[in-house]
Amino acid sequence: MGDHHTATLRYHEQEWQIHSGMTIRHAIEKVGLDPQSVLAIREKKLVNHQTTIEPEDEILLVNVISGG
Amino acid sequence: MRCQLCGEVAAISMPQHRLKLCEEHYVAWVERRVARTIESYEMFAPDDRLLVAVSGGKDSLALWDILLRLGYQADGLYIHLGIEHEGYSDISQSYATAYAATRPEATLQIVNVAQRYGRSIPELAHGRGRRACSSCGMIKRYIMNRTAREGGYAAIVTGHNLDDEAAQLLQNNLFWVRGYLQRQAPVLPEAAGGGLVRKAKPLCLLYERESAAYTLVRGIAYVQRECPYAQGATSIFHKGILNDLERRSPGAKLQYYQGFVRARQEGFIVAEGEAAEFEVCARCGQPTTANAVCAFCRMLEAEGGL
Repeated sequence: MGDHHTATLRYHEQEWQIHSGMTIRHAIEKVGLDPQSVLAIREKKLVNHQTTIEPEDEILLVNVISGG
Repeated sequence: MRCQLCGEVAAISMPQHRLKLCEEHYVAWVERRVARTIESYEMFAPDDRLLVAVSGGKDSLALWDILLRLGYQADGLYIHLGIEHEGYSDISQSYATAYAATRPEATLQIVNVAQRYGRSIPELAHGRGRRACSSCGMIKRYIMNRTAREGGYAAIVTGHNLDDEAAQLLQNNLFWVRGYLQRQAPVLPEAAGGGLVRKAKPLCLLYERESAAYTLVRGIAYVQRECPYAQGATSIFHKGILNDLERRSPGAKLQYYQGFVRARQEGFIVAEGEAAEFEVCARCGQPTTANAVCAFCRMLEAEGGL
């Protein structure tokens, strides 16, 4: 578990503890994902990638690329 | 970052359109964009009955929702493919039926391939010695057309988005497959004396990201798991290439696709050989370019399904 300065980023079954204060875009890049291929949800709301991550935020990343 | 229309916090930024919008204005923007696409490509008329091919995924559910909100008479068609891996087809169907339950003005028809034709799509593909995806496309097109004809629908509409279309275009471009290029269009008119129902792709100018965002903002639950047969698909690889391009040059995908559509309309893409002549399949009565029996019926006959 993270401390009160960290936030949680989830994508499929993966989960990362990240520092608050950075933008969502920065966090997405930091965990090795392509910002264009995911959308971010916080508290059931779509949030733009320039949003600053607050302590204890829980951010869900949703993949937007499908094949077939 | 603020919504450019109302000053509230923006939910999405779209550099390709130089636009940042809040949730409320985003939904309105998507609906206007789709309405304009339908109008500009003369896809169908306001009072036409439409059959929406619904997979349970984000694009088809977004499309169905947008059409209903725009006032179209749009029913859904879910084709249960019989993909059992982790219950994929059952789960996908549950999302389609869950959405349909929220829209009493529309109906959802379900065609279960295994129940109707005796074999699931993976079994039929295996019998033909082909990859599931190639059989799947042919079988879905057959069922969609037959259902639309029998139900008297004016058009079949599918949820292909801009990324789907641009990736398909890249694939066709790489090898200059003129026949495929000639048939790739936002709308394909009715053909074979009405035997082939008109097909339209109202989301063809909507980025995949925009379609997903619409579905999330509208609170529509959809199957997020990928079809197990789509893993490693060439289309995903091509989408990645196009996203690299888009990152360097926002709007590139849109320009690429719209430029192609204009070129096609101006006659730059001409199919090789003569136009296909349609006959009527002796087994099912659907149009076919093959002699006497269509590819679908030949496949079933080979499987002992007829």
